[in-house]
Amino acid sequence: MNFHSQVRRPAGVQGIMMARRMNANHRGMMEWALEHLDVSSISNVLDVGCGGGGPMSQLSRKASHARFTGLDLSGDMLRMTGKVNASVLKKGMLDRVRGSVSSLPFRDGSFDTVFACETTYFWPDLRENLRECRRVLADGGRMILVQEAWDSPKWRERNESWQKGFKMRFCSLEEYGSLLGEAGFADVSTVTEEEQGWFVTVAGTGGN
Amino acid sequence: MMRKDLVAILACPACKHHPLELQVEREEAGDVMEGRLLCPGCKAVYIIEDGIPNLLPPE
Repeated sequence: MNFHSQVRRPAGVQGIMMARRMNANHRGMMEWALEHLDVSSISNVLDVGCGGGGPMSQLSRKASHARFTGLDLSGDMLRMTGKVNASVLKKGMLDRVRGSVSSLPFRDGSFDTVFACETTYFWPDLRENLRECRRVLADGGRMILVQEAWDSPKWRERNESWQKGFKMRFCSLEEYGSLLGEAGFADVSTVTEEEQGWFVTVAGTGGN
Repeated sequence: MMRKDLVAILACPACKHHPLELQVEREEAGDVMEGRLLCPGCKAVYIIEDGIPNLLPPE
């Protein structure tokens, strides 16, 4: 696979090297995001597109009481997630499932949190895929998006340089809010980091 | 490894049937390492390999 395929769906030795790089590159953004997230009520997390498991390891250190399910298209990434999160796996608090956000292999209301870090750019149908995330959340649950890019005039040139060769979709913050609303979410709130162009969005299910 | 009680939340990605039927071929310390998940709804078969169930939707 070429470079662009590896970013989109890392696999094999090259994919593992790519995932290590992404874990390192996203560490600062996740540290910043965790400063803005209340994880005290999190108990059962689906990490969609968990990749090499770096963001999960940072979240699980702060939410050490929570159970995690990592979902990814790539078996190699799930094995890496197990290694990066070996202590969580060992204590029986990590499950790994190979699957697609297009059709999540879980029954309705299985999780209280769906976490998606640096992955929605590649989702095939963002509105429908967010609807799938809503379906597997219990009432009172939350969707958490952490990303290093959104579409805006300030970031357009940078985003376009990243998009070269990729099938990536960047939305404005307003579009993400609208798509989450159309997918059945309510109470959408977003915090941005204007220097780096990072954001964290939390959307509730509107239930209790 | 795949914990057996993961089956409590798994559903078929093709038809959304729940529950799936677990067939264990090899286990370690009570967790599934190799096996299959069968969907009674649409008859799809999903492989568990190296303790990871492959629930990608059928092509």
